[in-house]
Amino acid sequence: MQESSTIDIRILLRQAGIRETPLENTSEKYPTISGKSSVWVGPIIFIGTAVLTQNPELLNITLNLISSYLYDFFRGYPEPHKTKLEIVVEKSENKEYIHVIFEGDISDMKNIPTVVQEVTRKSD
Amino acid sequence: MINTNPDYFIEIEPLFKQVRQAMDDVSRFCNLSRSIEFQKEKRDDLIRLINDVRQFKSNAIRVSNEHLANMSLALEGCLTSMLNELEMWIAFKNDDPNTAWTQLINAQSCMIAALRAHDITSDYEDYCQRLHVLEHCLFPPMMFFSAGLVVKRSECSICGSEYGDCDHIKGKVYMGQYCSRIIKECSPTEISIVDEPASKHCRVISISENGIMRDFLTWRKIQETDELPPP
Repeated sequence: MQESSTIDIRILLRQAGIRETPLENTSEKYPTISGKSSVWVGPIIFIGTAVLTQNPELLNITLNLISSYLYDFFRGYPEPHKTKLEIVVEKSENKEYIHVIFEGDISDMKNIPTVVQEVTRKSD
Repeated sequence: MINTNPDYFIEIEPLFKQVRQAMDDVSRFCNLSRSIEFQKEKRDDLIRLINDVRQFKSNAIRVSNEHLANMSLALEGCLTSMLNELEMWIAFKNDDPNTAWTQLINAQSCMIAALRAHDITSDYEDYCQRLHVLEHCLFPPMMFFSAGLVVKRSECSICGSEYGDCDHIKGKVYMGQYCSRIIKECSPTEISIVDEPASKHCRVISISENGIMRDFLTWRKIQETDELPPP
């Protein structure tokens, strides 16, 4: 199962020309969980070692894309605009992973790449 | 500020001015002190203008002018929002707070949708915030429900394909129409009581106190034969 927002984020990435690798097979459709509270829950984003080393800006670009979509999504709603997003980063050859869970206002989403970089560096 | 791109704004400008004028005019009657007969009069004026805007939108869709179609949809949302607010005040005067709540939540939803539809309505962000303030000033603290679902199959309201297979995103506007994700197959998983629901229509409508069932808003005793208030 996947978060209902996964489909929307996939469309956004596709429109921006960012290629993502889905977990499921081409013909397979995972059911989505649709919670009806006002918190926007994003999909878990997995970032492989190759992506982080070859294209470090990709995380920034992806999060900018998501936050600009969310600014539109929350337009007219009273603040705070609560969001939740999880990022899993693959660390080099030893197959260790770092799991960053973000819960907060959209305006704080811009800090995620720095946090991910710092956590990755500290754990090296 | 509104982006008044002259290429297409010029065509909608007269209607836009009419809408702004109507919003300014009707807002003077959106309060408790103005008499109900004037509020009803203004309601009829708004309904007429909404029909004009819809006609304009239909014409824009017919000639495939997406900017005009989306702008008129946004204007329609503003007017409908204010119409709902006016209906809320009228419902209060009719001693019907349940309908008043429904109208206020509809007003909020319409205004939020209008803001998303096009920047032509960006000057109404404050009006939208006002509607949220009214919720807390006019009604007691509410309790809401939130439903959790597992969706197995859903369709795009714009093109009818499986949602996610096309490039349309729910909540966005395409040729004067909001895109929705139409759920075709789902299983409910849970219901929770929450402070911040996605839909404020999902609320507690009655409550039992000392063995007496009461309407949550009026606090009147509910008779077993009474009809439930509107959702």
